[in-house]
Amino acid sequence: MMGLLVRSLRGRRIRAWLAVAGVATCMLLVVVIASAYRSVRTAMAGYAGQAGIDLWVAPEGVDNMIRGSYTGFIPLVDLDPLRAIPGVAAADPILQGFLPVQSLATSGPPKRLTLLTVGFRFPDGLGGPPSYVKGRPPQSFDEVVLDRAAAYRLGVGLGDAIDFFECEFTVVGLTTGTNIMATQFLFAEFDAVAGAGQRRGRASFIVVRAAPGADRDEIARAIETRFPGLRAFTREEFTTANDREVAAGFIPILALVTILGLGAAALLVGLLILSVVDERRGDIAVLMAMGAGTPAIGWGVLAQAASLSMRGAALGIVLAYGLRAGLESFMPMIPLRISVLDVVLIAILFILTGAAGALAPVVRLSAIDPLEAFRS
Amino acid sequence: MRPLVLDDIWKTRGSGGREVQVLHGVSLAVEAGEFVLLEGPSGSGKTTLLAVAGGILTPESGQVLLDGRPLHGGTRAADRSRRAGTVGFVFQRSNLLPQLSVEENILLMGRIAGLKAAAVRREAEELLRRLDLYGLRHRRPCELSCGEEQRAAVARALVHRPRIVLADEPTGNLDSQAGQAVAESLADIARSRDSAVVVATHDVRLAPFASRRIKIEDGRILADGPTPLSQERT
Repeated sequence: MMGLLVRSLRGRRIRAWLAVAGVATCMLLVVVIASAYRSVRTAMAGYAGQAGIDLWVAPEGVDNMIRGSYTGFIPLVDLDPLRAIPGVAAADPILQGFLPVQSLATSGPPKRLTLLTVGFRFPDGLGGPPSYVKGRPPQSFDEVVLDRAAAYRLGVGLGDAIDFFECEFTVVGLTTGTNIMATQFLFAEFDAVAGAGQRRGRASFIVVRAAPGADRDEIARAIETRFPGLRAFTREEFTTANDREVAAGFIPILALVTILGLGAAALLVGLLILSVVDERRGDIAVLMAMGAGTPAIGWGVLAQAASLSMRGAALGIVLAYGLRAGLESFMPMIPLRISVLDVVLIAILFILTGAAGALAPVVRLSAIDPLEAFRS
Repeated sequence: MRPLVLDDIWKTRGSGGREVQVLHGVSLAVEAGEFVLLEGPSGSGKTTLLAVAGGILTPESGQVLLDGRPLHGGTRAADRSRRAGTVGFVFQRSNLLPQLSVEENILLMGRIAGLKAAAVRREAEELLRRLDLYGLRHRRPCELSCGEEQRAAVARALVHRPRIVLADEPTGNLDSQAGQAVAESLADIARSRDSAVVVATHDVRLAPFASRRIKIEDGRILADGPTPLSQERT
């Protein structure tokens, strides 16, 4: 019976589709922000959590890469004593900072970007690019590797030249998973970055690989004891701290957009259901006269609201995947990493909110008198 | 058991200072298979009487008995469920639900009345054939003529084999031929199923179908007497 009841109370098709499209758009907005957040988290975690690095050593007060760009440095003179600590298999410096980079295009005006530049020791120092999409690791002082979205924004490809601080570099590799939305990663030789940023003799972090069988926590404690001004984090701790920093920037926006999106979706569904209840008053009175109870009709109306929200959510998911594919091909600077779990949670939220939006109109059902069936 | 008994029904409509006493101690009993015409001018209380008899309105005093059992007094859901299973309504307009096909409109009534899906399908098919609507069963109400729509409304009112069918001006919007067809269908099918029919109407063309005519004015029954079907129809 419920199926027929729901169908008998369906609103006008065009309005229903408009409501579905509205819910889908709201859902798309939330999925896009959530996916962007997920993408930045993954990029940070991809770099900070890369295999081969067991410990991140940072100056006191720094526990993530974003703050590391601005706060404190480690003198390079600490590097050899640190390497001598029992259990340390390898330790390399990393220098990071936001540096202005410009393309050296043969035609047209040069394009400028500020990139998160990471200097690391060639050819096999720790802390290099986590994954390549094209090209190879840098092998000489004047070669760099950069994120493919940064390359797109600068309009450069493999073999092209870029400049930072009046030094020319050749792009030899493109990386993926290194786009953090506001900026992207560029990897260059440690000394080149140090020279460009006038930070010679200093490092932002020292990354450590433990010897097989060595206890990471013990090494961390030894480092902190030997160098009171430094802190040592396991890879997991450092990744979590980066996560927290990214979340601090993203979560408020994500929460705001989610609340606004849900509110808009609830209003759209509520308005549609309100119009159904008002316009179909006569039909509802007939159903009541036939003996259908207000609760059954109410459930029918709510089911319709839930169905609209579900269709909107489904359309939103399809649009989100379509948008991701489109962005990947045509605008790689906006990375979207869609998580199935996020999508499912957001869809459930939208379906519940849509149904909740219909509650107020459902309450109005009690004002309908079945006697209206005799007058309609 | 009489399908419908109204015993000393008093009913007021309106609220505040605009209350009007619509029914003044109306009593009547309808036998199974009867076709009763309820005649009277506009505002005489015909529709209110039908609504009270069908359990849509609750009287201030008096009792409505369906099959010997009070219609009001149980829980709201129980009263409604009993009303759905026992009463069929035909309105002045067909009031078919526009989003459903003819067949679905009929099936929905059966399901609301508590019939099992297979039983409703069987009943619906029989009624659609008897009312010459079988070929139109998948059409939406907007694709039917007024007469076809009203015949579909008759099928809807009868699908659950109600003990009593209450019809409010069922031929009011139809031309004489369509009105005749609707009245004939209603009378024949109801009689064959032993359902009682009460029709509120101004339409004198319905008189030939009635086995009894009740005159109502200002909420009081003025006349109530048999009209032998054979005499009127000839």
